[in-house]
Amino acid sequence: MLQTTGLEYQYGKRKLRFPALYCGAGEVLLITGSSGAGKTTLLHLLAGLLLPQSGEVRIADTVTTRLPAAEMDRFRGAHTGIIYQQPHFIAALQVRDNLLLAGRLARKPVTPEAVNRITHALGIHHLLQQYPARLSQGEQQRVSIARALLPAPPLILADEPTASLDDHNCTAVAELLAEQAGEQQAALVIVTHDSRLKEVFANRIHIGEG
Amino acid sequence: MIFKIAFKNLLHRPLRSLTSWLLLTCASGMLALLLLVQAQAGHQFEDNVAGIDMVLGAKGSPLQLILSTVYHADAPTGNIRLQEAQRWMQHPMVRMAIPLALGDSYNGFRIVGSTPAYILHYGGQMASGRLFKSSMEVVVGSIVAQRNHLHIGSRFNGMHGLGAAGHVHEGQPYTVTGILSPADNVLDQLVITAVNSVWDIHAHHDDDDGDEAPAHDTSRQITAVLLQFRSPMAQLQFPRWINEQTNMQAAVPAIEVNRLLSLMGSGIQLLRIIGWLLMALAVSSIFFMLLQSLEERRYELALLRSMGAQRVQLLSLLLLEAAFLGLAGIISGYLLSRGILGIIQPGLAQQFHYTMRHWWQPGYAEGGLALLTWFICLAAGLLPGIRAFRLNISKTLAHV
Repeated sequence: MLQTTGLEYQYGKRKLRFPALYCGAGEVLLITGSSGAGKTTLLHLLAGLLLPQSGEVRIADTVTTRLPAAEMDRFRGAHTGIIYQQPHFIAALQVRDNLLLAGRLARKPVTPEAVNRITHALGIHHLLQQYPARLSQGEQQRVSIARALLPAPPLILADEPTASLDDHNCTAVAELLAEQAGEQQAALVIVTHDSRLKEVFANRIHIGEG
Repeated sequence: MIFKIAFKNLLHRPLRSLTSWLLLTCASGMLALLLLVQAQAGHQFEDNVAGIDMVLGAKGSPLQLILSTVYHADAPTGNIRLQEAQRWMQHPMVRMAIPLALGDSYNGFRIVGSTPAYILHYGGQMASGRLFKSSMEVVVGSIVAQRNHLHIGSRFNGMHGLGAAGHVHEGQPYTVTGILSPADNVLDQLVITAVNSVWDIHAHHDDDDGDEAPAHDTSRQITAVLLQFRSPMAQLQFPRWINEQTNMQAAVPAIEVNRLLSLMGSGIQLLRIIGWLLMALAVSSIFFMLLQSLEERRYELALLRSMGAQRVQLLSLLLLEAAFLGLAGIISGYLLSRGILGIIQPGLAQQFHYTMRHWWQPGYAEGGLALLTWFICLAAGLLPGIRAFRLNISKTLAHV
């Protein structure tokens, strides 16, 4: 599903080299590393938000590193769901519209049943009429997971999804994420320095020095 | 979806949007009002003056003479002797001469002693009844009839002067013999009768207190004469002859109206400058509002991109917000201008015999103004829009 070879990215004089990655459909890949090791950069490279100096990213038989910018946006919308460390939403829209937004932008309409199923599974179905700013951190993170999962993308990227959560929420959110991704047969890549997650996921790669 | 986000964004920060909207409403409302008043005033002034080359009247301010005899919006300058005026009325260079005897009114509407030629000149058509034949018979304009519920055969007393509290000429009622159809000019607001009626009323009046000129045939007086010449030569010579050889005055409506419009024009010019300043203020408030909300929403915009939104969609998101605000401001500005006009309209009609036609309809100039306003609003949204277009999503998302 996801495959990378020889990815390199240069920040000024600093050159980041990343090991080759592979993550199949329905699998979870945990990428760990200390802060500053380039974890977020790697995730942005995978998502096509950044272009590498060399190497390529292949998602579902498409080499995304060769796509023009406009097509990259479209491809990303349809194939990638991204979960951020700090959940962010369109503040002016209710949770329901925020959830539908991803599908609309990706031109993959989301059915009300799908919204129902996922929000029930994540325990946020009672929050649909709320504005995102009124939700707690744990709730917000769950909404952003639902948002990433809803268009049923083949690849889900998570950037420190549990960093702002307490121990209880951390395990719950991580397990929900893995469970839902598995149900959709999506490849799930989690980038984190959160040691709590190492206990949950076995398949991991360490980047940075050492 | 972008549509919905743009709309919701404006509502999400209501105070900020409200400020821009109010400013825009005031600016576009004021400019629309000025355009409207100017167009209507120009119209009205030109229509009423059409075909009158010169007005012959008593000495005084020429502007006052024109205002009182052509627009019926001021007190007359005084009286002239019919005998003396006749010399000029029968001059071979004169094509048309209409005598006017003013001084009385009915419920704020002026009673004009004249000849049927006056009605003819302003294109009056009888809606019902007939022209006046003998003394004390009147033909009333459409608005006069409507406001006072006058019918053929109605009788009313005239009042001395044009004010609300004048001396009522009791015991000498006028009889309505005809009602005019709307002529869309000053005629609608007048009561027209024969010059004789005015003489008769004041002849009787004189017996009471004698403050008017005696009504002997040789010294009969009128207020003014509206003249139309056969050649433009007369236009040049007549005013000089009259002002030099007689103790009457000749005023040229075209000159006086131009003077009046240029006086009004400088006032309108000032108001227009204020209007455009307001507009500039409104547009910069939209600009800064969008710029500020852009800074606050960088992450939201990056998020939209990461969910598959195109750059163009972000650009159009900001342009749409500007467009929505612009549209709302233009519409409410239009309503504001009409509301203000609706409020001042009855006063204008009463005081200046100034009726506006189709004033609720937007004119071409207003359409142009609306379009221009809208484009300026869009332009104000362009720079924030371009910044959104060029947003570096990776950087924005990485630095929370």
